[in-house]
Amino acid sequence: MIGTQTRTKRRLPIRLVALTLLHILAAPVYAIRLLARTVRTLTRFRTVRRGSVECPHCRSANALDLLATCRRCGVTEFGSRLHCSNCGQTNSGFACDACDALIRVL
Amino acid sequence: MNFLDLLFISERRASYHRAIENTRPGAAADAEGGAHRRIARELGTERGGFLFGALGRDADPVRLPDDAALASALVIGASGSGKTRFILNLLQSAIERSLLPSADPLPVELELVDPKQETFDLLSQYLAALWLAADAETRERIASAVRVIDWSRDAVTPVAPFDNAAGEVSNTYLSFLRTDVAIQAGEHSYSGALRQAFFMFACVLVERRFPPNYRFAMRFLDDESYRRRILEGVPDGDVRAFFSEAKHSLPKQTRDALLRRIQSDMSFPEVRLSVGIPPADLDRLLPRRATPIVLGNYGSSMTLPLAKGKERASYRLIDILLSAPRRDQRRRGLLVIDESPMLLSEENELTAALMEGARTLRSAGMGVLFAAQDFANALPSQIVRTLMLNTRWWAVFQSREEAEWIYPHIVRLPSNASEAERHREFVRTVQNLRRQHFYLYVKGHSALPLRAPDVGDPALRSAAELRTIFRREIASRSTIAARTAADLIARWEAKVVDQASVLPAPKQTKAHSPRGIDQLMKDLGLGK
Repeated sequence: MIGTQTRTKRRLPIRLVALTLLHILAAPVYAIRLLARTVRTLTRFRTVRRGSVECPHCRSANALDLLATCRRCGVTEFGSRLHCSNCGQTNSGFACDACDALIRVL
Repeated sequence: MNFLDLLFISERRASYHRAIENTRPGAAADAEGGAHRRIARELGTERGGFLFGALGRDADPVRLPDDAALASALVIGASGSGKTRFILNLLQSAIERSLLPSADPLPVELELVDPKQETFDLLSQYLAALWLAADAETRERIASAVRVIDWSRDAVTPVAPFDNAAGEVSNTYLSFLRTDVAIQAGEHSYSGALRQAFFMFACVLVERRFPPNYRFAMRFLDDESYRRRILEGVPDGDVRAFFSEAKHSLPKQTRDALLRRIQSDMSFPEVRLSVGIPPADLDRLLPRRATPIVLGNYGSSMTLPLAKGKERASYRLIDILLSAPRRDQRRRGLLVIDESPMLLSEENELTAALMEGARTLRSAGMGVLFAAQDFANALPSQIVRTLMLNTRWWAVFQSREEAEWIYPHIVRLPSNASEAERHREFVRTVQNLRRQHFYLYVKGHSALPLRAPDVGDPALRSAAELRTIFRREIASRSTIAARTAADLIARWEAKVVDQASVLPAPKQTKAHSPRGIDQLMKDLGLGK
C-alpha cells in the first residue's frame, strides 16, 4: 500500500509536464477554432443587424425583422423572424417570401 | 444561454423598430393597431362570411369566412358579458342568409340546444319579428323551416325517445343510450340491478315501439300473462329471457324501485304529454319533415326539475349525433349548445359521443359551438383539453381562467415590464373586459380584441307580443295542444293496457312444434 502511494507521487510531475506539452501542442488548433468562430459570429451579427438577407436562389431581399409568429409557441410579435423572445426558440433559416426556397442565415 | 441568444436580446429593440418599419412604414406609433388590422385582414374576408365584430376605435369590421365561422368553437364569458348576444348575432346571420333573399345565400342547418331558455327566447322573438316583416311567401318559408322543441302546460312538442324508426343504430344500442342518459341526468341513485332492469325495460319499449307509460309499466311488471303477450313481439331472446325469469332477474325491491322511477318521471304533465304519445300516432299527427332550423328550449323555467330539461336535451343531442354521419353535407350545419357544462359535466355515454363528435363532425360538414360561463372549472380537465384541441376558434369574453388560454396568442409589444407582470396585466384586462368586448382567437392566427356587433331590436313590438306571434305562427307547426296529447295517451292506454286483447300481433310467429309421434307422422305425411 505504502509503496503504491510513493510511486504515484513520483509520477505526478511527469503527468503535469505531459499535460502542459499537450496543451501547447493543441493551442494552435484551439486558436484557429476560436478565430473561425469569431468570424462566423461577426458575420451572423452583421447579417442580423443589417435586417435583411438576400435569397441565394431568386436574389430577392427578405426582411429579417417583421411581425412574426413563432412556430413553436404561437406568439406573434414585432421582431426578428429568427428568434422568439417568448420561448427563446431560434431558427437558423426561413423560407424565402418570394420563391419559398430555404434561406439559411445562422 | 448561448451567444446567439445574447445577440438577439441585445438587438431586440432595434429589431422591433425595424419590424414596424417593414410592416407598415411610418406607423410606429400605432404598432399594435396595425398588427391587429393585419391579422384581421389575414383571417377575415372582405365580403360575405359572418360578421364577428369590429376592431377597436377604428371599427374595422372583421368577417370570418363561412367554413371558419361555422366550424366547432368555444364561446366563453361571464354572465352579462355579451356572449348570448354574440351567439344570437351568429345565428341571426345564418338564418337570414338561409331563409331570406340574400346576395350571399348559404344553405345551413342550425340546431340550438338551450338549457337555460334565454337564447331560445331571444331567437324566437327575432324569428317572430322576421316573420312580421316578411311577405306571405317568406312567412311560409320561415314557418316551415323552423321546428320548435318546447314544452309548457298548454302545448308540447311530442317526441319519441324510445322509437328507433330511423334505424340508424340497433335497438339495443338506442336503449342503452337512453338508459345511460336518463340515469346520469336524473337526481336518483341507481343500483346495478336497477340500471339493468331499466335498460331491459327500455329494450322492450324500443322493440315494441311503445311510449314510456307508468300504467303500462305497472301492468307489464305485475301481470305475468300480459307480460308474456307483450314479450311475444320482442325478437331479442335475452330481453325475453330476462322478463320471463322475472322472479330471479327482477327481485321485488328492484321492480318496485323501477316503478318508482318511472312514476316519478311520468308524474310531470309536461313530460308525460311530450314523451307519452305513441310513435305510430306521432307519425300521423306530425309527419316528419325536413326543418333546417331546430330551436330547442330545455330550460325548466322553474316549472320543472332541472334534471327533466337536461334529460330531454341529452336525448335530442343523441338523436343529432346519431344522424350526423348521414346528413346532407351540401348544407353546412351548426349545433349550438348553450350552457354546455350542464350537459358535459358528467362522464357518460353522451359526453363521450359529444367529444367524439367534436373530433369527427367536421368531416360531416357540421360544427359544434360550445358556450359557457366557464370551462376551466366547470368541466373535467380531459374534456376541456379535448374541446380546446378540437375547436377552430374561441371567443373569450369577460373571464379569468380562460384568459390564460389566450395569453400565448396575443400580439406582444416590447415592454420594460417583466413576463410575470405582463401576464398578470393581461389576465386583469380580460377579467375586466367591457360588455360585448372579447378576444377572438382563430387557430393559426393571433388573438384579436374585438367588439361584438350590436343585435338591434328586430321590431317595434313588445317581447310578449313577439312571443305570442312566435307561438301562434311558427311554433304551432311543431307542437300539439296538451289536451290532444292527453287524449292520444288515454286512447293508447285503453287499447294496449286495459284491453290487452287488441294488442298488435307479434312480429315473429313461433314455429309450429309437433306434439307427439302421431302429430309428427301426420306432418310428414306418413300418418292417418
